[in-house]
Amino acid sequence: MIGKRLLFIVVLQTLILFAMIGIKQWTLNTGKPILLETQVIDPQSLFSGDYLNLRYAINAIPSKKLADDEPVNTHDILYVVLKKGDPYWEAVALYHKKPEIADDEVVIKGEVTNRTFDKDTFYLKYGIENYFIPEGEGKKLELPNSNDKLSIGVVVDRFGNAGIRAVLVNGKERYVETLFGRGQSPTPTGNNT
Amino acid sequence: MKDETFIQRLKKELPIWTHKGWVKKENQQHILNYVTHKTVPETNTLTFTFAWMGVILLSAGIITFFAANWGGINKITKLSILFGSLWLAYGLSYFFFHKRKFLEFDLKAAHLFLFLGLILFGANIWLIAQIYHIDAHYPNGVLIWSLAALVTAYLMRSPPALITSILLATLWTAMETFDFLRSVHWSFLALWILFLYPCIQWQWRISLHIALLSLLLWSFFIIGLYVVDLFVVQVYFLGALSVFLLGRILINYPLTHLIASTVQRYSAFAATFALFIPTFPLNITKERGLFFDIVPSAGYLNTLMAILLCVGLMIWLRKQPKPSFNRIAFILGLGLFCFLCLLMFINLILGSHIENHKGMIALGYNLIFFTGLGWIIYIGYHSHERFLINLGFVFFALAILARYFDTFWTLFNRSFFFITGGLLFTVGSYYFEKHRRKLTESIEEEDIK
Repeated sequence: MIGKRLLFIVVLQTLILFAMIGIKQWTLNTGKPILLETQVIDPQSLFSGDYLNLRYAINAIPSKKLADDEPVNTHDILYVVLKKGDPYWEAVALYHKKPEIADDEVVIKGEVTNRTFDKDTFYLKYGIENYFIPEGEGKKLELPNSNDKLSIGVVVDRFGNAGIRAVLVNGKERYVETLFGRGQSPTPTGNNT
Repeated sequence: MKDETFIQRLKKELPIWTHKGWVKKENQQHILNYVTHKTVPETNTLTFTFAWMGVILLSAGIITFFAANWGGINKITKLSILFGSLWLAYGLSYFFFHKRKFLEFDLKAAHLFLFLGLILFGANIWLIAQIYHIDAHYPNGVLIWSLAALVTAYLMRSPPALITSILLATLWTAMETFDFLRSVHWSFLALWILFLYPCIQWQWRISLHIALLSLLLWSFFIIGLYVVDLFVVQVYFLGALSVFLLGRILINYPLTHLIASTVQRYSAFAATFALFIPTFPLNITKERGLFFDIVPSAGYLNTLMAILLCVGLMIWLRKQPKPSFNRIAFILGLGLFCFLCLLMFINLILGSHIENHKGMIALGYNLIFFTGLGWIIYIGYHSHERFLINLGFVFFALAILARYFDTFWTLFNRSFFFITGGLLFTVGSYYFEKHRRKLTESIEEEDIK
């Protein structure tokens, strides 16, 4: 009896952990790739190495892009329609409910974290604001050469969930995420989704 | 090994038990002889102290291993270590549960590895979140961990797992309250209710205390958020008073007897603490009150409902076959309660003009508070509950200290303030302690009689 109970606990906990990996990986495998403009803010060293604290252009969206009349409160979930630009994807509209979109658009789900005092701008987070990298790499990416440009390859699944697929420097992939490895590209592929 | 502490205590207790008629006088010596010559098995306390330290060190070791080598390890290895250590801990737990050759030792070892498994599960949540860059609503991670510990506590009847679950749930509600909601986190109560069953059913006293402490802390979060609004503090007091009254009712029922006596202690503390707050002439401004969106009509309604709840419980309490208070205590308590309700409604009516009346309101609350402390000591003495007596004396001393600072800080020269305060409190503490001891000792004597 104790054995069965213990087995149930082990299976349950293992499934929870597998689910965490599975859901993220499903997003990465089935999602639509997009490229986002970003800045690295204050990379900090955790016990596991460095992580990039990323700030995207789509983290701050003018409130005039809100396409419905419902009021926006902190912690509301909003759907942001992104349209392919050159080369970065840009926010074109905000909705409380997931809208229908054109082929060259994608909908990303974000949580309202704040808004400016005059309510002109909403701040949203998408769950792609942190990226863990090998220890010592954080400072290099925070302070790239003056001509270097950092961008993030993101994928968005059909439910609006997002995941980081790759970190790009000058349009070349520096890190690429896979299920069982992080490809640190010694010879960048030049893929700029 | 002989348990000398137990023998010494037994020597003290036996005459009392004989006096009460529980033990015959001629059997006293037989009991003492039996206990003195009986050797009890080793309890392995030292072994398990080291074992628990070992578990903590092992957990720390696993985390620091990752700290030093995180960048150099590929995902497969990371995942193998994370899942392998989890399964190994539970495997060892099963081994000791199954073996139980040296019963007590193996059972403790089994629970130890069960606890290690839980710690590793929590660590794995965060580490997998890092490996796969999962940046979600982070209190959910703590909630999942807490729920997993709760399931473990239920299935394996493990008190350490339940304590882990309670502590994590407290962390979860603190994160949700202060990092996200900035208002009352009611969902915590739904989870908290689940902690009660094992505490009552399997009589886990330590877990019960921790669960009640957790609830107390959660309720203090409400005061922390709304302390600027006296309406909420008033309703909080009435809520705590309701729980105290409920505790005194439930103590008469065998199923809830164990939990009721503990519940009423914590609720008595919460109620006294809540009533202590409005004794200060707080600097409340309308703007600060409005920040938390408290609607005055809700203040009236909630206060009225809480008063009605208290009255209902008082009626139920009076109908109990074994009265919890004597007649005088009940009438005195009722009088105090009526006076307090009146003060609460005056406070509500004054509402936004409270700035002009804060001194008078505080004065009224001070009158009630000090009389209430006298009432607590009185019922503590008559119902032989030392906790209530101690509670009364502690808050009495705190209130005197607070009023001394309120009143004389600006009036006296600083050195004179401290000299007078020092003398007052040295003499006062001696006087209070003498009376407190006198009361508690007289209770003990009456118990012996």
